Amino acid sequence: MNSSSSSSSSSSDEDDFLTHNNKGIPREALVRQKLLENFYGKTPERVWTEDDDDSDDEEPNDLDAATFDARQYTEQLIQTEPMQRLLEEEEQLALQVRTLDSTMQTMVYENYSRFIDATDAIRSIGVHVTANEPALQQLSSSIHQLDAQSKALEDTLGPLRDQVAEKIRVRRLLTRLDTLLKLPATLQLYVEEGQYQTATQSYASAAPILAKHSTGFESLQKIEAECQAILQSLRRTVQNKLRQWSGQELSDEVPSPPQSMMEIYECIGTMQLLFLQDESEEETIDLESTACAASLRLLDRILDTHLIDVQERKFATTELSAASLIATDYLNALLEASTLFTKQFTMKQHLVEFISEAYSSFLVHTKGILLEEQLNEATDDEATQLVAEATTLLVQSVQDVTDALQNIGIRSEWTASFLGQATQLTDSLTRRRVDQKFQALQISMVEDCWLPLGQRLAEEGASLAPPLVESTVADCLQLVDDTIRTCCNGGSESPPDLKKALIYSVRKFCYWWANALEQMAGGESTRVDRLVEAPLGTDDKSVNAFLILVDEDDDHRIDNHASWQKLCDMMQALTSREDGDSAIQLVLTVAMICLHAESSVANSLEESIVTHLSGGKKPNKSRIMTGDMLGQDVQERFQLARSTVFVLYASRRGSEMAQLLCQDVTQTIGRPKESTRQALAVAKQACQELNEMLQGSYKGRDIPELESTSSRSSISPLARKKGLRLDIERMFQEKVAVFPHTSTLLDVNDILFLVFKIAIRAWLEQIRRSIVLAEARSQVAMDAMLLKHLLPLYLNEAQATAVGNMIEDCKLAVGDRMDGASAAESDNEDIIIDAVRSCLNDREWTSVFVLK
Amino acid sequence: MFAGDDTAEVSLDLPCRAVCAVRANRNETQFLVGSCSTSETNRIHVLHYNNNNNNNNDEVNVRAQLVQEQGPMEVICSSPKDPTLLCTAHSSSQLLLQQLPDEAVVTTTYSSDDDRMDATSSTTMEQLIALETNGIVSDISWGDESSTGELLFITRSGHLTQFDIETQQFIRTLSLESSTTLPRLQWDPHANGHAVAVTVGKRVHLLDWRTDTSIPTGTVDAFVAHRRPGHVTALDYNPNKPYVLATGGQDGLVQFWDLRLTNRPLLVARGGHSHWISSLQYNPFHDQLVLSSGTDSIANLWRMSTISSAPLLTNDADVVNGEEEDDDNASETAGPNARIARHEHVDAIYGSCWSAADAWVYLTLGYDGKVQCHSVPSKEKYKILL
Repeated sequence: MNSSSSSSSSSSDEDDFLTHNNKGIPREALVRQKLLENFYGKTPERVWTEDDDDSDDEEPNDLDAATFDARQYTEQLIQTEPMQRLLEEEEQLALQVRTLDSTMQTMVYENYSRFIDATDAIRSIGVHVTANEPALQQLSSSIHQLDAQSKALEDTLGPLRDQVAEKIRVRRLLTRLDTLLKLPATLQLYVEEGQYQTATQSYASAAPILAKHSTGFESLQKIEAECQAILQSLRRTVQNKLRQWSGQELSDEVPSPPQSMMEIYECIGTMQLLFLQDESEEETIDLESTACAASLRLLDRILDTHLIDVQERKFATTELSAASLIATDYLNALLEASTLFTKQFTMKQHLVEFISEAYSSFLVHTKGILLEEQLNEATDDEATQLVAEATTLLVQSVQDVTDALQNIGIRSEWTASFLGQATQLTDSLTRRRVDQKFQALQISMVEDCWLPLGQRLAEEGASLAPPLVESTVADCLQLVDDTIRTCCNGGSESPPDLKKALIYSVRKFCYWWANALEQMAGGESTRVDRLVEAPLGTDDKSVNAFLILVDEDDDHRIDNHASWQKLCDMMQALTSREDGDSAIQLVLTVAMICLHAESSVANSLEESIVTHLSGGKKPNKSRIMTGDMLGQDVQERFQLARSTVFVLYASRRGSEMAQLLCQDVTQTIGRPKESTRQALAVAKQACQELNEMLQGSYKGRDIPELESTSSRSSISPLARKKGLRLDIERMFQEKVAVFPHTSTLLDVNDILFLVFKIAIRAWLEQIRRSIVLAEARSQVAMDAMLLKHLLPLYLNEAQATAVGNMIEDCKLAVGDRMDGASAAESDNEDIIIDAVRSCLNDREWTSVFVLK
Repeated sequence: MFAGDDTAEVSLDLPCRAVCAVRANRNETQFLVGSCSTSETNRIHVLHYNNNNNNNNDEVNVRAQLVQEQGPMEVICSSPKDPTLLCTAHSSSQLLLQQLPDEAVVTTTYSSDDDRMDATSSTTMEQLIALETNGIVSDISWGDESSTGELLFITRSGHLTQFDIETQQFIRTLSLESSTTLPRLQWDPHANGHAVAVTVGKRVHLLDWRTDTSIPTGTVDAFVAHRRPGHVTALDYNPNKPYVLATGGQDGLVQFWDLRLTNRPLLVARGGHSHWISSLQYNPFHDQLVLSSGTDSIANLWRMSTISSAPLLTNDADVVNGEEEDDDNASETAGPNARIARHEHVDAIYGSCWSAADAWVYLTLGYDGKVQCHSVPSKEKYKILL
């Protein structure tokens, strides 16, 4: 195009419009180069750079250069190089000098021999020349003759040749003129065929010529006008199409949607060509976003088509293949669009955004289709297979596209996340599938294992049957095992994904299991929206660690399930049943389940996972032990559940005991009360039950001797101290927290300790709200002494001391609650000791609470 | 001044169980504390809480001490209308309606603390009505402003009585089962004097208290509030949201119930108490805040946002991040529902209550007679207000 402005010679000029020679090399120089190349072979490109200014490069250190300075070179060498190197250099130089010497010698010899040869030749020529003189003269005349004849021919043929050349030139002009004349028709044809770019290019190259010559010729003017009209309409059409396709605006004239990416980029290219004449930057950027938007819309349409296709297949009950679930067309189109984009534009910013957007909508689409497919899974194993294949295909094709994108110059860091996202999708699908199975398992476990157990407990009421508990736990484990197997059979996912998903689900399930056991025994739901946990102490955060995995939605589902609610109602009915100790039996049964679960669940489920993942073969033991997949957590969770259930047990036994102790504190009978004896019997029973379950080697102890010199001061009527002294004393007295909600409570002694704490503390409260007479104070002192004396039968030393302090508190409290008039009276301690001793000596009386 | 750690303390040197806020005084934070000693003279203490903004000192003063000859006080309850009117229940099975001298509750009469003590210690109270009750009264609920004069009380043996102060007549009595624990009761603040919740043993009874007798026993519903063994020991209605009831039990748990679906609690607060809960109070203005105190001598302030009438909108995690986790218990108080303050007394706490005048002040009363006045941590306060 710039050629038109540079020269006025029309012929060469018109040649150029077809050849597009835009280089800055003059034509003649080009010809010369070609000739020289023919003669000498290829010459270096540098010949054409007219002003060669690297000739005066000074290279004093280049041995072969003309400007080599030997002194400078040597000095530099000596200064800079190490000794070893210098020696090597010297040796090398000496060698080179010798070689040069010998070469020179050879050359001198050769030259000399040639000189002798030449002398000989010249001498022989001198001899022959004189002999041929007449022949030479003849030759000269012949040549003159030839010259004359050729001149004559030239004179006659010269004008003819000129004419031929002139005609050829005219013919060429005529051809071009013809093209020009036909231009409107050609353009129209191109436009109709959709080759907008070719049309625009043709017009662009013809336009200057038309512009130059049209002034004189009406026909050319007409053609120009016609072409411009076509171009205008072309431009309008293309603009309209692009706007429609990219969704920018809607006009009345709705073009048919694009069939392929090529079509879009044909238009984009055309617009670019058209805009090139205007040379405005903004328009180009606008074009980029238009291209992206239009491509995205086309891609969306592909997805829609795909979705409809999949659904149609489903309704037509044709076999769905894995390939048909993944919209590979989409990825291909995406790739095509990206390739075309990189061809058309240089800026990558829009492209990256476009690719990410397109890719994410692809993932959403695929996820939707696969999820829908997965819903059928519960009934259909083929669907599982299908989804597994489809996910494999998905990862494969995404990998392909990523590679291809990198080939067209998209940097790898932009595409790196794509594969990750696809894998993530696969993982989440697997996890979801496994999760669904385990949700179903929750319900079936409630229905198949726990409801029957609950029914039996409700019917038989009392007796605790260890084999029943064992078989229940075994049934539960079998159910979990079955579920794990169906998860593994279902698909051909890569084991790591499946294993991760399985471990996650199993762990979550075990946490739910443990919590369900707690709830069955009367504990609270650990659902995050149902429980506020405040740490009792400052360093007690053990429970919260287990709350992390609790999924609200899941638990919501099972919580509202009819079977679970039925079970809860059944358990609640059992708990609140007034007759006998069915509540205690329930708690003990659950505690036993927890105990069994604690010892077996983690290991046996780990084994199940490993076994089923490896395709049913029994792996060797060592592999199971090393893979701490479920690890300690599950075991600890069941331990915590057991501890919680034991707290419930202790609360139950404790309140039973408390009720006995609190029976009418104002009553006085002059010897330890029957209710106190019964309370101790409760402690004995608890001790026996716990020993039986925990298989503790708990030994019955003898009643220690009652010393008659027990301290007198503790029950003085003025026990209540005043002011500062009391404050300080209390400050140093360690407080006994009754309910340790979160600490572990696993030992028989611990549980009995809690039973006593609950009972004694309740007794204290009861005393505090009563007003008593002096006799009642002795009565309390008597019972307190009996209790305190017998504590070592059930508790270890530290615990006995703690409970002993609480009993002392009760004695203090009863002193405070004396009726005003009787406060001054003092107890006769000897009477108290005698009464207690006489009871302790009565074998029959003590047999109720003494452990054998 | 707003920091939660600022605690004003005063020691009354007598065992005390009964406390209430002077409900009719909306300008000043005043509390009434009744002692329950068996050997010494019992007194009603009028406490005045002074939130002095100038020197950042909270203080609580005993403004008056009024001698009570009728024996240990079990319950004390102030009138919702008249700041000088109060009702006390005594261990001698007596229920007294008494009038405080005006100068005990009205401000600006005295110049210094010493004058105050001397001037008021000799003051006696005017006894308006004395009732012999059918056993020791364990809880009193004085109807709201709209239904003043409706005094409802329950005895330990489970006798529920409604008494009209103005006509001085018993309106209705009802006998519920008796239990070893102290029964509690509370008018439903949303039912306009028609519904009452009563705890008896393990159960919470919801009573229809309308005058028509279509429901013969009066019990609409009764449910076991705490599944863990132990009785219900405290209850309070949410003042702003109907059908929400909080209960505390001998299991140390605070549970929240939707009374329309009582098969399981809305929310359980665990780990706050290691023994019985003795008192449970919703903040009368902001139902996100619940105060619980127990016989383990611990008082807890809970923020129960999710089940309140106005759940907090801000995501707590953001708040924690925004404040750079400047306090180390940030993780503990994160989440919409959490314990936000914990106070420990030397002896068991039997009474605690919110101020009627200041929405952010509450009092806890130890059995040893130690009174602590606390204010809600400013951080929590702003979370609720903003």
